[in-house]
Amino acid sequence: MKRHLGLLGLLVALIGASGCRFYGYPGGVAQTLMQIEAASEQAAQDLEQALAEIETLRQMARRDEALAPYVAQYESILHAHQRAVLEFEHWKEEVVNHPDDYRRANRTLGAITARHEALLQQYAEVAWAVARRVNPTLQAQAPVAVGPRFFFHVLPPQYIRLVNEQAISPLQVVRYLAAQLG
Amino acid sequence: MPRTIWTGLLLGLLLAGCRGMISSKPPVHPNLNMDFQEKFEAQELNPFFADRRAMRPPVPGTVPRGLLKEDTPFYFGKTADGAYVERIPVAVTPELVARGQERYNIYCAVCHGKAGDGQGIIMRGNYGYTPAPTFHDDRLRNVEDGYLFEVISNGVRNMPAYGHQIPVADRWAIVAYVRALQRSQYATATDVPEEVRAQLQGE
Repeated sequence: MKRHLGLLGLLVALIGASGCRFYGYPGGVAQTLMQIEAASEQAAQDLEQALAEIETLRQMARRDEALAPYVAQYESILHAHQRAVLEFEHWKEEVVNHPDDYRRANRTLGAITARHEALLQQYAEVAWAVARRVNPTLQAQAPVAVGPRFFFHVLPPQYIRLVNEQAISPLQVVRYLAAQLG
Repeated sequence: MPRTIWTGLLLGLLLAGCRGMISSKPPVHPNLNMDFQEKFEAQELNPFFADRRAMRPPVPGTVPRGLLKEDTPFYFGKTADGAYVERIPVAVTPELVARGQERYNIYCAVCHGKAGDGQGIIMRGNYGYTPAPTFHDDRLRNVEDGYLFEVISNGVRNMPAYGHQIPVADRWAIVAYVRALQRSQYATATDVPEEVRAQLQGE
């Protein structure tokens, strides 16, 4: 029985070893770290843009009371953004402290970009809701969602991506609106 | 004795995991429980029907939700009374022409050639195909955009239709690129923007 257990252990070890994959490469963490730094810097820059946006939004809300809920919504996203920027710094330090842990580096980069994208998406939703309220004709410039799958044979998603690349950035919509209103 | 059994089992498992084996037979998958499921996916074999296809073609005349194709210039290249549209009904941007170039080089250039002169690789190999016409003769330069779209969609004489494999928007992109190709062969110095002309003369 004891010998069986030993063989069983060997089997498990073999299967485990054959399942091991190495996804990083020597020096890979340093490169990922550069991307992490760029991503967190972008998030910090976007925070400044969002602060300018909310200032404009507050000015607009002073004239139009119906915009007050949007200001509150924007503020809550802004707070989440501020917390995220602080957390990104913390995560970055963790990666610096573990220079051999490529898994942590990859995970961190993914987490930063995903959270940043989600914040931008939330900003866009509020900003375009304001645009809908203030000037419905501007809605035509909002980013378009990729249509249902069956429509791909009419309009491949590449075209929609091209259009959306040229759309106004989610952190400039309110200021663009204010400029349009004069 | 049990030791031999265990070693045999171990060896068998290890061998089953070998991917370097070259065999003309389907590879051994010890557990086939969910490899071939009892449902049909697209392009699979279905023994139930005479043609043994899982994909059943729709009845002619059915209209899918969201594909009414009311916009006849866009979908068919024709106006409501059946005449070919003169101009491409979508906005022609550099991105559209670039996409058209990419699609043209994939689907069209095999016969029509990358320069549009009908000298694609299929035409140069003496394979017995009907020669593809050049796009640079007066007939095709003066034809309506809608006609080119129609030829891509439904084919013409010896050319088969491509509508079933090229999306509608891509067909217009290809038309835009063919127009650009035609323009390229009849370009004069005045077609070149001022600043680029100065650059060209400088070289």
